[in-house]
Amino acid sequence: MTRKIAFYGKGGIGKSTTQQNTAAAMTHYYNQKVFIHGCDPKADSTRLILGGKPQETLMDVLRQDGAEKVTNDKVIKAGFNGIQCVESGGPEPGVGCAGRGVITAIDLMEKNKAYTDDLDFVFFDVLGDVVCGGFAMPIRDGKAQEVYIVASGEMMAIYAANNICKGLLKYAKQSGVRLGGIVCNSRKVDREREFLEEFTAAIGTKMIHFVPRDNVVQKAEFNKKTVVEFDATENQAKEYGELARKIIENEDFVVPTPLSMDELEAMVVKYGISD
Amino acid sequence: MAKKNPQPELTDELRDEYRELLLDHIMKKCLWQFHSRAWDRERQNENILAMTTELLCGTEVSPATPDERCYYVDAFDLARAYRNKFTWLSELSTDQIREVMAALKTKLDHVTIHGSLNAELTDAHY
Amino acid sequence: MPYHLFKCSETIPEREKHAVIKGEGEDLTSALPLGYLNTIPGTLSERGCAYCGAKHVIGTPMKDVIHLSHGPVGCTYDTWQTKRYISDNDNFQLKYTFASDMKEKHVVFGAEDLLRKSILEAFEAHPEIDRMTIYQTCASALIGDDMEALAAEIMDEHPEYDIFVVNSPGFGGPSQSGGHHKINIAWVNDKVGTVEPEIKSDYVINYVGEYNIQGDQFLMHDYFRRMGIQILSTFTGNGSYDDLRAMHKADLNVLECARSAEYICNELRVRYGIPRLDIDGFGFETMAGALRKVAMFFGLEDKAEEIIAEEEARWRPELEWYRARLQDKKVCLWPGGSKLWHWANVIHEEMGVNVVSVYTKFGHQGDMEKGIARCETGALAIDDPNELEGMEAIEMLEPDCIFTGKRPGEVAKKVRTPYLNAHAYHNGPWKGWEGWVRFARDIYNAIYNPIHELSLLDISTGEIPTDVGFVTRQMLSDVNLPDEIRNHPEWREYTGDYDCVTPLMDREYPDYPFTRGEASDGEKEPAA
Repeated sequence: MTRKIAFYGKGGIGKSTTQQNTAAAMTHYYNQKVFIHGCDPKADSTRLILGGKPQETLMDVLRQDGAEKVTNDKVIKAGFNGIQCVESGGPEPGVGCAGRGVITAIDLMEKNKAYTDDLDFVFFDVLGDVVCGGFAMPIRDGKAQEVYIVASGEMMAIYAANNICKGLLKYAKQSGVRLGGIVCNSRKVDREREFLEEFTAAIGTKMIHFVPRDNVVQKAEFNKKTVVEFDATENQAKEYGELARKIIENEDFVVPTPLSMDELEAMVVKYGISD
Repeated sequence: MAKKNPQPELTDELRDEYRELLLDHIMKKCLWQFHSRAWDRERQNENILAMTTELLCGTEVSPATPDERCYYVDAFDLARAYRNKFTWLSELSTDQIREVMAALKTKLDHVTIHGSLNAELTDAHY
Repeated sequence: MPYHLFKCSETIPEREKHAVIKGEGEDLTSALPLGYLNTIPGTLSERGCAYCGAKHVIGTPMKDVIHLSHGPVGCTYDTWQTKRYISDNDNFQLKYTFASDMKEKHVVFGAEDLLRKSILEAFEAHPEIDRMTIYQTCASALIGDDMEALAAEIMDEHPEYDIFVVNSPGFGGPSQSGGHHKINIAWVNDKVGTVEPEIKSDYVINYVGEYNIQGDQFLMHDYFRRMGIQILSTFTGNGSYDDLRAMHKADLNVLECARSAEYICNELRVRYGIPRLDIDGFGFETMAGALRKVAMFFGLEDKAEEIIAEEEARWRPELEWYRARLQDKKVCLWPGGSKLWHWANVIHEEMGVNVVSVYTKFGHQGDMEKGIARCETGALAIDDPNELEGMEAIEMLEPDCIFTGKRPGEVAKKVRTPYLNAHAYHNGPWKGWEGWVRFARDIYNAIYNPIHELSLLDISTGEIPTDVGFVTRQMLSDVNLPDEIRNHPEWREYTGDYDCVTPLMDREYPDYPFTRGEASDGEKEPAA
C-alpha cells in the first residue's frame, strides 16, 4: 500500500533538501518507488531529483490552458532513479491565494489518479508555515497519513515545529493523520541532540534521526543532485539511507501534544539558546 | 394666552395622563426621537421639546442656525398637532404646560434613551 | 418581556428573543426584540448578504454608472434586475450589469489583471458612461486584490474616468445591512467633496434614502421642484454619480429610509454641518407633514400649502373609495428594514386596515423601536424571521394580505394569502399622494382578487363548474357595503394613468428662485 507522507518545517530549515535526499536514498538503498508532490509556490521541491531542470508547474498549466487541460503527462516528470515529480507552483509573493493553489493542485492530481497504487511512497513537501487552511490540505482526509517535521536545535525551528503540531492536532481526529517523528537537520548548535530529544519526548514523539551537518550536501546541491546521486560513498549518503530505513520501518505514529508557550519558553531557557 | 378663568388644578394623575397622550403622538407620528445614537437622541429630545414647549406657551422662537431651523420645523409641526388634537392644552397655564412638557421630556428620554433596550445606542461610531 | 417563541422554532430557543407581542401597557422599554445579529444556525433566514446590500440596494440605483462586480459571475447576476429602481436615462443601471468573472486560476494567481481588463472593456463598450463603481465580493476579498490601487492607476491613465471602490464582501456583516453601512461610509469618505456643483436655487437639499422604486423619486422630485427646491442629489434612486459627489453643498438632508442611509446623513451633519430631517413619503398626512417641514426650513410654507391642497383635492376621493373597502382588513408589514415603520401607523389611519404584525429581515433594533411604537397593541413583531415562522404567523393571525419579498410572498400564496412585493412594488410608485392611492389599489386588487375564489374549487374531480367562483373584485368587495358608501357621489377608483411617472420627466417648471447667486456676484464670478 502506498504510504503518503507530508514533510513540514520552518522555512529555510532544509526541508526540501532532506526530503529529496531521503527520497533518493529510499530508491537507491531500498528500491522503493517514490512520488514527490511539491506544495510550495516557489516550486523548488524537486530540483535535485530532476537535475535542476525547471518543471512546468501544475498551476502554470491551469493558468494557461485551464484545469481540464492538466494531464499527468504534462505535469509529472521522472528524475533520478525514476522518482516522479510534480510541482503545484502558485502565484508570485503578495498576490492571489497560494493556499487555494495547493488545494486545487492536490484535487487535480487525485482526479487524474496520479498517485498510483504501485507507488511505495508519496511525499508532500509543504511550505514552512501552515499559514492557512490551504497548506493543511496535504494532511486532510484521505491524503497524507504521516507527517515528519524537519527541525534543528534553533529556537525558531522548535517554535515552528510546535506550531505545526498544533495544526496537526486539529486534523488528527477527522483525518487520522499522525506524527511519525521529528527529523533533526543539525545546525551544529550546542546541546542540539539533547534539546531535540527532550522536546520530542515532551510532545509525545521521537527524534527519528539526527542528520549531521556536512558540506557535501551543499556541494551536491551546487551540482543539482542529491548526495546519493552525487557520491553514494559519502558518509552523508549513508545518513540519509539511515533516515530512509527508519521511515520505512517506522511503526510509531502518534497524535502530538504540543507545548504551551510557557513550557516552550522554559525549555528554550534551559538549553540556553535564547541568548 | 390671556387667562380668563382660574386654572383647574393639575394633579399628578392628570399630568401623567396628559403626558401619555403627548408621548403617544410622538411615538406614532414622529421620527426625530429615533436617531441611532444616544447622544443624538439626547440632542434631538432636548432641542425639539424645548422649542415645542416655548411654542405651546406662546413664546416666539427664532431659530438662527441651520441646526436650530431643523429642530424648529419638527417642533413647530409637533406644537401644531398638539394644539389641533388636544384641546385641553388651551386650558392650561404656561406653568402647567411647562410642567407637562417637562414630564414628557423625562418620559421620552427614558423610553428612547435611558430605559431603551436598543444595544446600538452606545456604539461609538455611526 | 413579552417574547414570543414560535412552535416551529422550539428547537432553536435563541429565536425567542427575536419576536415580541406588544401587550397592553407595554412600551419599548419592555417590548423590543434583538436585532442586527448574526443569523442563528438552523434558522432559514430570509436575509441577503453584505455585498448585495452595497451593490443591489444602495449602489446600483445610481444611474450613470457602470456597476462592476469583482468576483464570480453569479454574484452580479443574482443581484440584477430584481428591484425596479428606474431612472430617466433609459434605465442604464438596470439594463446592464458587469462582472470580472473570476475563475479558479484568478483566485490562485490574483485577479487584478483580469479586473483591469474588465474595467477598460466596460468603459470602451459604453463610451457615454465614464463613471464606475466596483464591488468587492467574497472571492476577491479573500485573496486581497488591491482594487483601490488599481482604480487609482486607471484614473491616472484616464483622467476622464472616475471610479468608486466598495469593499463589502458578502461575509461583511450579519446581513445586507452591513453593506448599506459600508457603502455609506465609503462614499462620504472617498467621493463626497470631490465635485463642486452648480447651485441653481436658494433652497438646496439632498434627498437621501430614496431608491426610486417604480418612480417614487420622480413623484417626490416633482413636489420639491414645484416648491422651487433644488434636489442637488438623490441618494441613490435616479441619482447621478457626480451630483452625489457634491452632497456637501446642500442646505438640508431630507432622509427617508433611515435604515439604509442614516449613516451618511449623520456623517454629513458632523463633517459639513448639514442638518438631518427625517420624513415619511408614504401617506397623505405624512406626506403633507414632510412638505410642510421642508418648506418651513426654507420659509416656503405657502408653496407647500398650495401643493398639499391641490394633491388632496385630486386624490382624497380615490383614497376614500379604497379605504371604505379595506376597512378592518388585517395586514402584515413584512418588508426588509424600514417600510414597517413608514407604513405602520399611517396605513391604519388612512386605509382603515389593521396591522397585526411587523417584521424586518435585516433591520436594527432602531427600526423595531419605530415599528413597534407605531403599531397598535397586540401586534406581533419579528426580527430576522424564517419562512416557517412566517407561515406559523399567517396561521395564527390570518391576515388578508402581507407585504413582503417575493420569496416568502410566493410561499404565502400557497396558503391563499395574497402578498404585495414590499421591495419592488406591484404597480408603483407608492409614495406621494398618487402613489399612496396606487398602493391602496394594489392592496384592494390583491385582497379581492377573484383568483382566490377560483382556487377554492376542486377541479380534480368532475367537470369544472362554470356557475360558481366566477366573480369580479367589486362583487366581492361591495357585497356588504351600505348603499351610501357603495354609490358615494364623490369617491372613485384610481383614475391616474397606467404610467404616471414618465410624463413627469418632461414637465416644465418655472425658474428656481435664486438670489444668493446674484448676491455673491460682487465678490466673485459665478460658476460658469
